[in-house]
Amino acid sequence: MKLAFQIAKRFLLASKRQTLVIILGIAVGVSVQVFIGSLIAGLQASLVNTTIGSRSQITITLEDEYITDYQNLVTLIDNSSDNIRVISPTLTSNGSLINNDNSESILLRGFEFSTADEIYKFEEKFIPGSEFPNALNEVALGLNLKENLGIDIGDDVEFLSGIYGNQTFKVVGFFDFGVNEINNTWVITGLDTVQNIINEGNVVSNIEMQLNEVFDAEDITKLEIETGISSNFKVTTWISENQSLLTGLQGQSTSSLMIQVFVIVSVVLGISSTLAITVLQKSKQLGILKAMGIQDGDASLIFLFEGMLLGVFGAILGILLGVGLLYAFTTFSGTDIPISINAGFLALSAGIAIAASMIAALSPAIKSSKLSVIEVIRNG
Amino acid sequence: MASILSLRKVCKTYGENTKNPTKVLFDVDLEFEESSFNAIIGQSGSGKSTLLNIVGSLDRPTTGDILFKNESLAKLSKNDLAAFRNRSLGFIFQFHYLLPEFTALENVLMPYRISKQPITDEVMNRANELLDIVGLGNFKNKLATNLSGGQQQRVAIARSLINNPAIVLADEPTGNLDSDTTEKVYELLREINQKFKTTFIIITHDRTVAEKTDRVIEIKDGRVYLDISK
Amino acid sequence: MKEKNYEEFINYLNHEKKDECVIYIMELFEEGATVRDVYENYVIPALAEYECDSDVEEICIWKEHARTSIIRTILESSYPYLIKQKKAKINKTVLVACPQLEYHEIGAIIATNYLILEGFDAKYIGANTPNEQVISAVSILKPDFLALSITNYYNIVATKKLTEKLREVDSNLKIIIGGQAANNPHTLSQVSYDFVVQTYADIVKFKEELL
Repeated sequence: MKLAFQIAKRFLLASKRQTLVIILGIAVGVSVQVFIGSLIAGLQASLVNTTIGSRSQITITLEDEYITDYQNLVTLIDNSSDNIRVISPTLTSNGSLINNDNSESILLRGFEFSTADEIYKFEEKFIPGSEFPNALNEVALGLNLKENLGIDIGDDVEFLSGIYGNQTFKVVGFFDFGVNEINNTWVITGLDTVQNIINEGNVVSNIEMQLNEVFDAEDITKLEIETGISSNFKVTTWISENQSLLTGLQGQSTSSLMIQVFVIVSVVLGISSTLAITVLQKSKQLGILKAMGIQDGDASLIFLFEGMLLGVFGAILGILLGVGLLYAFTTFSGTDIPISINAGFLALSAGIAIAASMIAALSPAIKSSKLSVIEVIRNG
Repeated sequence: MASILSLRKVCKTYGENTKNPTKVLFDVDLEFEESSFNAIIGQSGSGKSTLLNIVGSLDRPTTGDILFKNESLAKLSKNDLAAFRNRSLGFIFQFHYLLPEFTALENVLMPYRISKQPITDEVMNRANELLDIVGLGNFKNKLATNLSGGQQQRVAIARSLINNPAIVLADEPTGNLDSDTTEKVYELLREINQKFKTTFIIITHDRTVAEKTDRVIEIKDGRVYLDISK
Repeated sequence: MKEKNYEEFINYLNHEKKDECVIYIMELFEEGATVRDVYENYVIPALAEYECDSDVEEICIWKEHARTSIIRTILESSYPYLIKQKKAKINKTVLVACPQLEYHEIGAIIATNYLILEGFDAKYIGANTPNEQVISAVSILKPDFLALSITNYYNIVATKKLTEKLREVDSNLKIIIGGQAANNPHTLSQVSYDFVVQTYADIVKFKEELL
């Protein structure tokens, strides 16, 4: 083992240029892998974040009814899966807001802000001067309503509902979700404000959740949540509502994977052919080692170690190069694509490169064990 | 004196399963005695190299057997043969075949390291002593590529002896050396033969070497044509 | 008496005193010694018993060559006595040679002289005689016998090839082998030969068998 390793090391050091070229080849492969992998992972994370990062990823409702015993349900669901990052009950109603002559249809959403803020990140979206509408009948409005209704923080505004009658709200803030649909219609307030208006007691209409692993939403729903609750509840996931997004993401992942696979294949082919030439170059040495009684297995180990050493140094250099590329890309491309450099992914890329190098060394290794001493000696 | 190696009806055919099998050796019977100094001569194509390869267990006979100290080599597996070569045989080749990536000393130690035993002071001393015997005490840390042809051949001689082999097989050990160096290499081999009682089997074209050995075996057309001793 | 005389002769020889050696032997002939006496009691022992007292091989070699040179002069000087002493002709021809690369010829010269003494028609054709020269001489002179003197056993390699060729060229030719290399029976067995002759007594015996 030790001898095979030392011979491998010496063989590589003896032809420094050739060694350097192979290491560079592996490094380029690894750097492309690191760069593309990190870039696509970053793009996906950013896309997922903007699309579903500030909304409910799994929502539970009761058809045409309010959920009455919601606290127990929340506890039950929260305990059913480790993947649930946050769970929050909400109560939603419709109506209009009227200020002077202006009237807008709105969605009145009552939240438990302690948990809901983790889903919707209101605090980041409030415009300066805004506050959480914590007190009864305080509200915060979508930014577009500010102009459409011509109101400002501190003003009162009239809420009109055909079923539940009127209520005066005090405006304590505005928020900007960057999405017109929300900015035009959402009016947020405490859970108690909405409960007070509909007058059904301590009820909610939805239970909303966000997950740690968003792509597992369907599995969690089927395997963990639905088994514990009554089948009267309707559970919807972001995935069922965003099929096209998911297909897009999957397509991206697949193409990224394909690129990485082809990069590895080309690295493997490169190393394999170069090492095959090395076996020929070193056939004299192998011949004499065999004459001196080296076991075939140990002779093969020399080339596996060569592959491993090339893989290790190629991977290290490749990761440095890849991270450098990512840094250069974020610094100089002018885009603000958030790149995610994940230590796990780097380790995986390095591991794959080393494993690939060793697999590439396998055929030269086998070839070396089949090399006949006599051929070598005869051909001088 | 006791026989150290015997060949019993050794035949070798190349390309046995092809249309044109070539028979290279025919029923070769030979005995080599312990600590003897033998030369094998013969024209190229006579089969003498094949014979040396078979004696060196680098190649197996098609039929017949080889006995080392009365133990048959035919039964040994490939790995057992490799271990046998490592322990009991030393090789010296015409083109010296040192590992150019290693120093003279490392080359000398190579057969010992192949045996997977830990390097002891004793072995280091032996390696140094052997390099001194071959007159390369001052060159031991030089890379093999930086040595002259004669020096490399002397390193190869030291290397062939590190595991204290019973037999040293040499294929044209002086083949590409000038006559002065040839004489020195011959004397070195003779000195080792007398000092360590090592059996030598030397293939040589070189009359000046062959006529100084104790026994000359001439191979012709795959057969022992002549077998003479002093 | 003879012992003491031999010591004196060897003493001259060891000091490479050529004149003294030759005069000493000539005096022996004058006193009536036979060629055979001189060869058996002085020349052959001097060659056979030579021991180099120096450890240095180079010194031994030139000393041996100097001694050989003196012996050669003695052998040449003995020829007139040999002509007088030789026995009746027996009408058998012998060619004497050293095979190729065999330079030790004193034995061959002594053997030739002994054969002449015993009435053979013997011709010495030289040291280091290439195989084709020997074959040429055999095919032209058509001798009854060819005697090959071989000192270095390695020359058996060439001798074997020569004898094989000779058998093809002349199947009637009888081959005689002599010299140091012929002392090892195994080595001798490798060559095709008819007789081995090493001493004067062997020649006498060989002659008796012929007649």
